[in-house]
Order: sequence, then C-alpha cells, then structure tokens
Amino acid sequence: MAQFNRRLALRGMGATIGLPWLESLARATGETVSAQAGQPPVRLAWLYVPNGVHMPNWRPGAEGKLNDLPVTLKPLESIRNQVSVFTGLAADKARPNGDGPGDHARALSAFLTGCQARKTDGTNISSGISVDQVAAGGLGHMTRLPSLEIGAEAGAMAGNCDSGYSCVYSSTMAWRSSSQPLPKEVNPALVFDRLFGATADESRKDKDRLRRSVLDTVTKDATSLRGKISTGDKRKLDEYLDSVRDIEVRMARAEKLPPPAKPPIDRPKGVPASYAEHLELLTDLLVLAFQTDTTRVATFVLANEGSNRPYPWLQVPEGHHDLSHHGKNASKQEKIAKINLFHSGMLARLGTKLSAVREGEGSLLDHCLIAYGSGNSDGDRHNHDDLPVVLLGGGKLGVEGGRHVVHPKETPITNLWLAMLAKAGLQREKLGDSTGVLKI
Amino acid sequence: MLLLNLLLTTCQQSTNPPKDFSLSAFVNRHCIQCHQGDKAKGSLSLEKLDPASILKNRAGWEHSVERTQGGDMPPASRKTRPTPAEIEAFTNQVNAIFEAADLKAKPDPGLVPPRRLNRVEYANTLKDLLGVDFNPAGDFPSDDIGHGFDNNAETLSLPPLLMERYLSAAETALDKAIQLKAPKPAKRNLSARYLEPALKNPGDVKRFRELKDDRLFQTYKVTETGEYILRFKAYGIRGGDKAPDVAIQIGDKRILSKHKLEGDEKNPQVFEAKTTLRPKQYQFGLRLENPGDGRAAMVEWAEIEGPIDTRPPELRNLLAVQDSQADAEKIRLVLTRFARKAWRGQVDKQALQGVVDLAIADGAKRKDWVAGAKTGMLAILCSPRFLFRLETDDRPPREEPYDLTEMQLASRLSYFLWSTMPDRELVELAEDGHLMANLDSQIHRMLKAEKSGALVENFFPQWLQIQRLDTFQPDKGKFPFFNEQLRKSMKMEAQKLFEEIVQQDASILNIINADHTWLNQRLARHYGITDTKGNALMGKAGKEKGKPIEGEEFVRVELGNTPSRGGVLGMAAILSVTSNPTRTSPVKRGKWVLEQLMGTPPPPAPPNVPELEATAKSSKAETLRQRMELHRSNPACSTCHQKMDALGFAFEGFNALGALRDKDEGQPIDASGELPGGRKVAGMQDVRSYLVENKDKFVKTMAERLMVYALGRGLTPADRKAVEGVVEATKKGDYKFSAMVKAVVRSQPFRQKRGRDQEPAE
Repeated sequence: MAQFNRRLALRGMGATIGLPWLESLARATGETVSAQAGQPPVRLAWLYVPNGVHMPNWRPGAEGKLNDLPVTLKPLESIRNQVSVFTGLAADKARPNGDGPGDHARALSAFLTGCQARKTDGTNISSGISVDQVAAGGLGHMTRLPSLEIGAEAGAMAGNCDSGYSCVYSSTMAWRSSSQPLPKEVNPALVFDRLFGATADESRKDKDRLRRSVLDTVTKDATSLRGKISTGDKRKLDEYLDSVRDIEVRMARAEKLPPPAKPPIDRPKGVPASYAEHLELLTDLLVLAFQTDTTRVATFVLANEGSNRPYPWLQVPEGHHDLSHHGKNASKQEKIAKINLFHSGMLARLGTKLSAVREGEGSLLDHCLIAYGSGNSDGDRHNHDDLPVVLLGGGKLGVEGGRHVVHPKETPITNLWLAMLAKAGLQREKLGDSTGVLKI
Repeated sequence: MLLLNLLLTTCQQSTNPPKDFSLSAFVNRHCIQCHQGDKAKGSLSLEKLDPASILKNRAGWEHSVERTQGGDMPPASRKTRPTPAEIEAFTNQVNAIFEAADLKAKPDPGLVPPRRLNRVEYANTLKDLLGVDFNPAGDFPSDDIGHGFDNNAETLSLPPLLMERYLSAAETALDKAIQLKAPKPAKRNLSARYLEPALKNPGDVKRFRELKDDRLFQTYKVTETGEYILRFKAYGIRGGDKAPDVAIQIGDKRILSKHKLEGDEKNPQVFEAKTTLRPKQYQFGLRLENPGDGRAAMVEWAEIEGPIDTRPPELRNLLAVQDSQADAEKIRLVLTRFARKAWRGQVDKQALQGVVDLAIADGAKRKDWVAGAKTGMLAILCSPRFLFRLETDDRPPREEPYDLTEMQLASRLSYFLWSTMPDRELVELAEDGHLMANLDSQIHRMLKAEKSGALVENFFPQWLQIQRLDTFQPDKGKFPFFNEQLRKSMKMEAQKLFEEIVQQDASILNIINADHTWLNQRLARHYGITDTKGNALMGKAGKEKGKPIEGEEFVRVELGNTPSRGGVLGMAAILSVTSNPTRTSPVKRGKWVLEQLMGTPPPPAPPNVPELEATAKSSKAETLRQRMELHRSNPACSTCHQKMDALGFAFEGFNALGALRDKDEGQPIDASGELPGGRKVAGMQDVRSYLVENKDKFVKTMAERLMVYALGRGLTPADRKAVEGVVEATKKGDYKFSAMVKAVVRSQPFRQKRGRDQEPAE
C-alpha cells in the first residue's frame, strides 16, 4: 500500500503555501474570485449511498451520448451534460474472497480503498488508505482543511453491524491509513465550525501560539514515552503523535493562509430532525467548503452501509435494508427506487448549486469531480460488480460529460479513482486493487 | 479472536446428532480429495486427525470449520454434500479438541493496548477533576464499537478531529474552572439608623447615630464559610479629654478588635476587623467600652464583606498554595497535585518537569502564575498520560504474567464500575498498598455509589442492544401512538431493572425472570396494566387490587397477575429493537435470544441468500409465519433459521412495539415455537422457563459480556478458564451481581498483565 508521506508534504509546503488560489472569499453574489492567473483548483468529492440501487431504473439504455436520463437520475436533467454514467465497474474487495458473509461492511470499506477489510469485531481493524486521503495528501497543504468527512448517520451504537465485522467498516468511508478509519462529522453545526470556526483575530493567534507550545510539550513526552512501552502499545501512541502533528501542521498552515471566509450562512443549530433537511444542510455546507476553497477533498456518506432507515415521507415505512432484500418483489423494488430517486435528488442539489457558482471561465462544477455511487449493485444479490456509479462535473477538466460509458466487466472501480486523482494533478500508479487508470 | 467467535457461532444442540459420527469418515468423504499432501488446496492439508496435529494447525482448522459452516466448503461443485447434522457434529468435534486444549493452556492475561478514554469516561473524568458541570464530550465523534462495546481498546482510535476536540474541550473546561478574574466579594452596607436595637423613627437620624451605652449591631446570615471583613464608619465624642474606645464584636461576648475612636463630624473614621465565619446567623456590632462618662460613638454605617475569596471550593483546592511561596514554586506544587490525579497516580518525573517548565515560562510571560498553571494543566489534560489509560510503571518487565500495581488496579476498577477515575478512597488505599486486601468491601461500596449508574447506562444497554431503541423508527401508519415519551419510558423500564441489579445487588436472574417491574402510566397503558399489582384493564374479578398507576413517574409493579411481563423478554424495549419498522421479526427475536442470552448465536447467513424472500404474491401464504416457513424450505437456510425462527415465533403474541396482540394481519396469532433441542413452546413464558432451567448458559453469556466490557478487549480461548471461574463464583454467590463483579475483578486477566514472553514480536 502506497502510504503518502505527510512530512514530505509538509516540507513542500513552504514553496506553495504563499499562493492560495483564492484572494478574497465568496462574495454575496456567490462568486469566487481568481487571484492568480492560474487555473481554478480541482476539487474532488465522493458520495456514498447504501444497499445498492434498483439497477433497471439506474442504468441508461444505451452506451454513448446520454439523450435520456434513466428514471433514477432524472433529477440531474438540468446538468445532464456534466453527468457521466459508468457501467461495468466492480469492487472485488467487497466480495467475501473466503471471508464469508458481511457484504455491507465490505462494500463501504472497499469502495474507496480497493482493499479487503479484515474480518474482525474490533481487534486489529484494517482496510487500506482511501483515495480521498491520497488526494488530501497531495492537495491538502494548500487549504485550511486537508479534507472533509461528513455523513448523515453516526456510527452504530451497539453490537457488530454485519456478520462479524466491526461497525467501523459499515460507517466509515475515509481511511487515513490501513488501520485508521476517519470518523465523519454528522452535526452540521460542527461541520460549520470546522470550516469557518477559526477566526483570524488576535486572540485566536494567541490561543494558537499557546496551543502549539502545549502540543510541543506533550509531543516531547509522548515520544519519550514511546520508547518505554511495549511494541503492541506503540501503535496507539503513534496514532496520538500523528494526530498532534496534524494539528500542528494545520495551525502552521493557517497562519500563512488568508483569513477564513465569512460564511454566507448562519451557524446551523444542530442536527435537523428531518433526514432530508439534514442531507440538504450537509450538501450546502459541502458547496460552501468548495466555494470558499476551505478544502478541496471531501467524502459524504448519505447513510451508513446496511442502513435500515425508513423513508416514511416517501411512503416507504419499511427499513431500507429490509427492503433491499426484495426477492424480486415489484412493490419492494418500487420502494427502493423511490429511495434511490430521493438520494439522487441530493446529488442534483449539490450539482446544480455548484454549477450556479461562477468560477474562472466556467462554473465551480466545471472544476469539481463528484463521484456518487454504492459498493453494492443489487441489494438483494449483494453483488459487487456492475456497480452504480456516476461522475459529475469536470467540464473544464477535459471530462466529456453527458455520456454513458460501458467498461469491460470487472474493471476495478479504483481505476476510476486513479483517473480522478490524475485530473487533480496527482499521478498515482496504484490504489488497492487498481489495474490502471480509466479514461474519463 | 476469530476463534472464540467461531466457537460461539456453532448451532449447538442439533435436533438429531448422528449417532455414529466419525471425524475421519467425514474428512475422507468431503475434504481429503483436495486437502492432502504438498499440493493441498489453499495449502491446507487435513490428513492428520489426531488432536495434536489438529492443534498444530489450529488456524487452518478453524478456517475450514468456519467455511464448512458457512456453506462454502465443500465447494458447491461437489456432488456429495454433508447434511446439516453432520456439519454440526464435525464442528463440535473439532471445537471440543480446541476447548480441551484451552483449559489446559498456560495462563495469559491477554493484550490490552493503551485504552483511550471514551466519550463517557472523558466527560466523567474531567468532571471529577475540575468540578465543572458541563459535557465536554458532546461534540466528540462517536466512539466505534468493538466486540459489542464502545470501550474497546483496539477500536478506540484517535483521529486528528478528536485530538482537536480534546484541545478545545480541555480549554473550555479549564476556562470554566479557573476564572482568572474572580468576581468581587459580596458587601452589605447598612446605615446606622437601621441598626439594632431598632429605632421607632429611623428617619430622625440624619447621618450619624449616637452610641452612648451598650452596642449597635446588625443580624446577618452567613451562607458560605470563608473570611469576612466587618467594617464601620464613625467618629468619637470625647468625654473630658478622653476619646471613646469601641470594640467590633460578634454576638454579645466575642471581641474581634478594639479601636480608639478619634475624628469629628467632618472626618469620620473607617475601621474594620477580619475573621473567618461559618454558615450561621450572626449579630455583629460595635460596643462602646466606656459608657457613662460622656464619651460616645457617632456611627454612620456598618458593613459586612465576604467571603473575601470568591473562588469555588474546587478551585481553591486546586490552586491552594502559600502566599509566601515564589511563583515557580506555586506552579510546581499545583501541577504536581493536579498531575497525580489526572494521570491516575502514575506521575513520571520527567514528563511532569516538561509541563512545569512550560507553565513557569508562560506564567512569567503573562506575569500571572495562575495563568501559567492553567497552561500547565492544559498540557496535562492533552497528554497521552491523561487521554489513555496507560499501565506503564518502572518495574522491570517479567517473563511471566504479573500483577498490576495497586494504582493500576484502582484505575481499572474505577473505570469498570464507574467509567471515571478512581476517587480519593481508592487512591489512598492503593497508595498504601491496601487495595487488594479490601477489594470486596470496595466493590460493594462502589456498586452502591451513585457513580455505578455508569454501569447501568453503559454496560447493560450495549450488551442487550437497547441503545438501538434511539434510532428505532416504527411506521407511523401502523403505530400512530408511538412517540418520544413512549420511547423514553421503554428505556426507563429496562434501566430500572438494571439499577436494582447493580445498586441493590439484586439477582442477575431478574434479567430473564423478574416478578416485578417499573412502569409509568404511559407504559402501563401500553402493556394493558392498570395498577401496581399488575392487574389488566379488563382483569378477572377477585384478584388483589393495587394502587392505580398514574402520571409520568415510575412505580414498582408486582407481576404475579401478569405472566406476560417480567424480565427483559417481556419488555417493550427489547421487543421493539428486535422488530422491523412495520412488523415483528421472529428471526431477529430468535437471534437475539440465542445470541444475547444463551451465548449461541447462529452463524451468519450464507452469502448471496436474501434474508426473507417475498413469497406473498406468488403463494397463498397469508401470515408472516407462513411466508417465513416457505422461505425456510430452502435447505441452505433451514438449519439455522429453524432455530431462530422457531424460537422467535414464541414472541408473536407481542407486536412490533411489544404490546400484546391476538391477531396479525387479520389472522389469529400462533405463538407456538420450538427451542434449540426441539422442545415445543407455546409462547414467551415457555422460553422464559427454559432459560431459568438452563440458567448456566445465561450466566456464562453474561459473564463473557461483562468480561469483555471490563477488559476492553474481545475474549480469546485463553480466557475460557477465567470465564468458568466467574460462572462458578456467581453461582456460589447466589447469582448476586456483586458476586459476578468480584469474580471478574479477581480473575487473572483483570488483575494481571502479560509478561515479556507473551508480547508480540516487534
């Protein structure tokens, strides 16, 4: 597993940090301003929906130009020319490969990593570094936050979630390393704080200075402590040291970046009672994060893998997971399609909002690559080939949108991720089970 | 870890175990063709079947058992397939070999990496340390679950997001605890005209009131112990050429100070006395010492100010120093004291020195030693020594397992029972080396204390999965009466049961069968119960009546008249979390009983088989039961489903929210079912009787869960002996909860750590 080197990234920071892309931040008009003659930066995001989708409503009729969007993707009509639908991609590492049941846990943990999750209820959690974290390693030093991890469902509260797999696997999309899952932020108020909380006033600077000397002191101690403890214990201490280092780097970076944007919206009050509003709020915050160039990399888990949430406002009172085992029952499939359509609506909200922000010679969406999909294809079969995947945006990045592209069966989805990295200027040869870079 | 899991996932007690099962015949028939010799598939050779050889290749055998159980092996392409009963016999026989070996194995306390404090532990610990009452962990990302609990050392990771939250949480807590600018002390100033003895016409006194005999005083109620200042403004009228003498008094007798009163109307004097007062009503006043010779005091006002130190007592304790000490000394003293608590008695000199240096430098820069000390405390709270429960010490490592230090034991004990740091009593016992000797009495004290609520709120609901109730969303169309209050009430009923077990040391068997419960009006109505004797709304005449159950408050309800309730099996909380939003789920209910109460979870469904095929349309099956029975006709599912469903059907008399019902989708309810082993049951009560008869299984399951919670790790085969010890001790202790806790605490894995020989290699 290619592990990106954060310290290397840090060393490189001095050279690039003086040239953040944005000079002033979003104006009331929702317009971003190009400071330098260079191109607007590329932003990458990955959105996940659980339990597969009703494929007949998802898959476009023919390969090639997308004249008609399939039912589930209809909400994307207004930005159809920025939509690429991919067929034929697979997540092989979501399959049992000898590990037995647990397709939900594996579907999410393999989606961005291309790695087989270690089957464990808690001991030695392991997957692989996820593509967003590879991106954060390459792009993160240019923004206030290297990456943003959000989701609408917190980790499960009890038990193992799927046939002997710890709940970590079915609730986490981003993996900083093979052993470190990155929890997602669920509360929109806290997402807001992360994006805009750091005020640039003098008291903040004082506080940061103090924090840095405090972190300095504890780092010294932790490092010496590390030498005294047993091997097994070192791992936990390394996690601590890594996280401390991360904060130090971020503070150092913040000093050199322009002050954070004044957010055009008020701080959200917390988690809305309605799931739909919750998703909308998170979607809007994601738009702001990109618009203000606070981060260039994001992951967004719309619901945890295996989620059994009902969607009563869609006349779907049954749990999503229960329904997904539809046994070809038409009325269940219809309900699943309703859920799929609802989720696509969120993608459409994201896409249209991004396309409404002018940036450079195009829109913000033109400079984004937003992947959306599931690590399960049909929820009933738990198959991990023929995955539902769409890519939004990339109009100014040479992505030819408005297409349905059919790849040979079993093409690893990680090949698509490598292609996205490449568009962001990050040439990587391998990610998990990838076999090459897809043409997009 | 895989191993124990595997042992537990056997569908034990087959309906018809083959009488003449032979391991070698089974292997020869189904496995050996591919798994032998150098070219064995998957490098797994299964030729040698003596126990020693099987144990030698334990991992390989475990894997093959798991895959056989899961239906992956022998591969589907093979014509001859073992029957479910044969698979079970195969599994049992191999596992028996492992089990026998484990009981003979060398003791191993297991590996517990440093445990990060979870959200609950962090909040409790900070509260105990600083006396601030707020939840600093509200913003923390949720802790991941490992082996069923959120205190699992391995899964408690520390991502940057959390480290950042730790920093701000500690800053906020310290800001709340240590106010650098204390508020001004309270003052009460009373004009002399209102002093006692009371005047008929206070208005007659213009500015000064004359005191020419006895005293003037005011009555004042002190509410807080502390230093107070008593102050007067007055001037003296001379008698002859002598100035009057006055004394500041408390009550009629006690003199605090004496003053010669000079001055005149234009230059009155202010004079005062300082004293420590305790909460009480006082008269404080001014006495003229030499009445009768023309001398008098002209008093303008009396004033009481205090307590002078307005800091809360916790803060005063935290920052208690001698005024005479140098700032650096004050900082060192305060931080040493603080680190000892925060680092749970394990203070490393070098680490402390680093913090003290930082604090002294910061205090000097800001010319404020308290500000410096506060910075030092921030470093102490962000140190891995606080955030993790480290069990390092200066003793040389040993080869063999060895005892924790008493301080380490105190910490483990405290986080186990209280989810917070050890209190003063535990620390003092541990410091004196007397904890082990007083272990039982300490455990009893701790369980009775309010803090053991942590166990009630964290262990039981996670074990029994009641937390899932928080996200349970029943279909509004089918259950329009469900609301948040009902959800809360369901949780509360369960909590009351656990509270009684923990804090009043009730029998753990109450979990499966209690003759009482706690209900409020809402839940009682949901259950169809009206009074505290458990009588039903339309109860039969002639039964003893209890008090009606009214309002939000929970009251104890005797269930002698209500056999459908009592123990968790009849609780709405459990019956709901094992249901789907629109209907009951016999599978989930059966699985829950097998897994959480009997410790024999069915193996997970084989891959690619849907949980429940919808056959309603294609057949005439009307009820859920009929549809499921059809589904079970698939042989791949039948073995285990038979167990889960048959057991789950016994609960069909309860709807998806745990209310009683006699019809489902218009059809009469059939609550007949079957237990593992084939015994027929006719409803929940029969399942309950079965559990009571087979309570050892339940006790063992609970012992295992409690061990996992206490140790913060999953169990391994090496723990088998310890678990058996706990089960035995619990039985001997009359199934009291304290008996189980004591046995867990005294078990080797809890009291010891691994020797060097058992550490994994670098």
